[in-house]
Amino acid sequence: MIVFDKLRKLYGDFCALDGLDCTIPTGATVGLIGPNGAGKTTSMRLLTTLITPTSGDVSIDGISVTAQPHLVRRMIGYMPDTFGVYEAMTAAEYLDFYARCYHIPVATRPALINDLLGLVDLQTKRDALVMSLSRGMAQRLSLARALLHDPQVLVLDEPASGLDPRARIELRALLHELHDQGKTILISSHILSDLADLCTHLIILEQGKLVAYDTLTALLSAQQSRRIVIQTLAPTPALYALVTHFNYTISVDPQLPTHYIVQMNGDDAAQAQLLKACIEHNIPVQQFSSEANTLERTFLQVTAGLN
Amino acid sequence: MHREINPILIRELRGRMRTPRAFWLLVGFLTAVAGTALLVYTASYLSSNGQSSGNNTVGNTVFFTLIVTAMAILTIMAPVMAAGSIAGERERQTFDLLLTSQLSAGTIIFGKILATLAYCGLLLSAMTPLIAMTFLMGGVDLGELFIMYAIICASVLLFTCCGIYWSTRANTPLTAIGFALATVLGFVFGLPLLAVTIPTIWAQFLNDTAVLDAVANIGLAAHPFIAMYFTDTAIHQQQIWTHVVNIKGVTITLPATWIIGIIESWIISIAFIVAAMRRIWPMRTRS
Repeated sequence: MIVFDKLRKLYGDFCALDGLDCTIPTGATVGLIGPNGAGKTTSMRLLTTLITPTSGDVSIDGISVTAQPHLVRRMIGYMPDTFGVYEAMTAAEYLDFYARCYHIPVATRPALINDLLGLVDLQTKRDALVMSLSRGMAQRLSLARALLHDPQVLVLDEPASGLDPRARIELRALLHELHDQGKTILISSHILSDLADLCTHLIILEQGKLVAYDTLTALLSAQQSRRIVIQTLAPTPALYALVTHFNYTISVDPQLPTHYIVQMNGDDAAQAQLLKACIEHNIPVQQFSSEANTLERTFLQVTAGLN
Repeated sequence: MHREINPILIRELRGRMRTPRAFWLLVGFLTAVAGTALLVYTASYLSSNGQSSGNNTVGNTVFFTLIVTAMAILTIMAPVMAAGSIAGERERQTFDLLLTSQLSAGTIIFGKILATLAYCGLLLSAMTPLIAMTFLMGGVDLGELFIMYAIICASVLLFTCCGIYWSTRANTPLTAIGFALATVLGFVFGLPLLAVTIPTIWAQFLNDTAVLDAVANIGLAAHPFIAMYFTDTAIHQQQIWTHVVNIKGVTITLPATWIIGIIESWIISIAFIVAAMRRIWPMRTRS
């Protein structure tokens, strides 16, 4: 369990993180989202003991990053947004070097490196120079490095940044596998569709402040309005009057005489009620669909206030 | 319990020795040292009308030239190599990964220092055949060789630690190298300048500068070239371990200049190491 306890970080007069306060359950995959400068990387750097908080604390299973940073470092695997490269080093040597840095016994090291290269599907690149790896391969190797000491918590800063679609899909599959293994994963990304696929929980930050934190399902269902697309076989003026006077309607956008987009409050029952009313008024409905609530829309709604 | 070699040291040596740069640096070093020694040998040979064989002075001159040239090159190379190390990690964006690993600040700093020292040691070892040739000429004994190597090692350690310290302060290798070189060259050229000018100025106000001279001599002991010169002179006066100063009629016996110099270098090196470790300790820095 990761506990952010009124965590605050100032850089001079600039407040990068302002009282982050939330608890992440063990085994959760948590997406950290927000506009640039929202405090995502600062939160991660605080958790990984790279910087000290101005006030507040963050702890993993009760171990504070400020009081016992050396213990916290054993519990976290950190993957920064950039892949640092050492020249003249093969992929296996790269992992071997970091395995030494984590004091992994020499007897278990070769097997561990083989297993990790297998996990990230880089066995064929074992003796390839790290510098020669593609961006996707480098990211997977970086993830393997973060897993060397079998950490409970993975902190991944923009892992999908700059990856091509195939590499993104492969990385996503890998993260699903790690989630299934029970790892707690904290991941920041601007690719919200990836996060929607991966995450169990979401933290939304803006200007250093926590604006939302909940499970993904709860956040999506808490969305205040939905968009209904109604298409008719022929122009039907009665439809406009009907939806305009419908109780839950916020706005109506008649894009074509046969095509309306209705912004409405209310739940699934309200949506069913609108469809029923259309049928009762003999409106020749050809299509009636609700646009799925997306993380993008939730994000836009939640963060709209501060920017 | 089996204790592993410092991983930073292994990685640095592996990375350094796999590049052609390491080979060309070695070639350049040996060419410069051997070339200078050859010039001095030729000049000495010609000035002694071809009577070089068995001439102790020529052997000693060539030996001293080799040592001083090697020291001069290492005075530049050691801080430059060290200064690029931590700042290079920052530039490559690998430094955070080291800080979040189980390595202590001490392991990181010592790994970097040892890697630079190991490469400098390689350069010194590579010039062994050249040193051996001066023994054939005579005028050099093993004790002198060990003392000169001790002075070089202490100075290389000092300059390396200076480079490492600046490396922890700068964000780019270029900045670190600039500050490290400025510090080392300031020390090499500035210290003698101060040692000459301050007693002269002092003498205008006080008649007796003996104390100041003694202090200046002790202060200058950490200067590798001055320590080498004093040591060479002292060895020929059979004063290897001690030297005598006379202050207001009182004779005081002090350890030899090279011993004082080595101790001073160690103390300053330790200060640089402690300062460097404090700089990179994650929970202390960049707040």
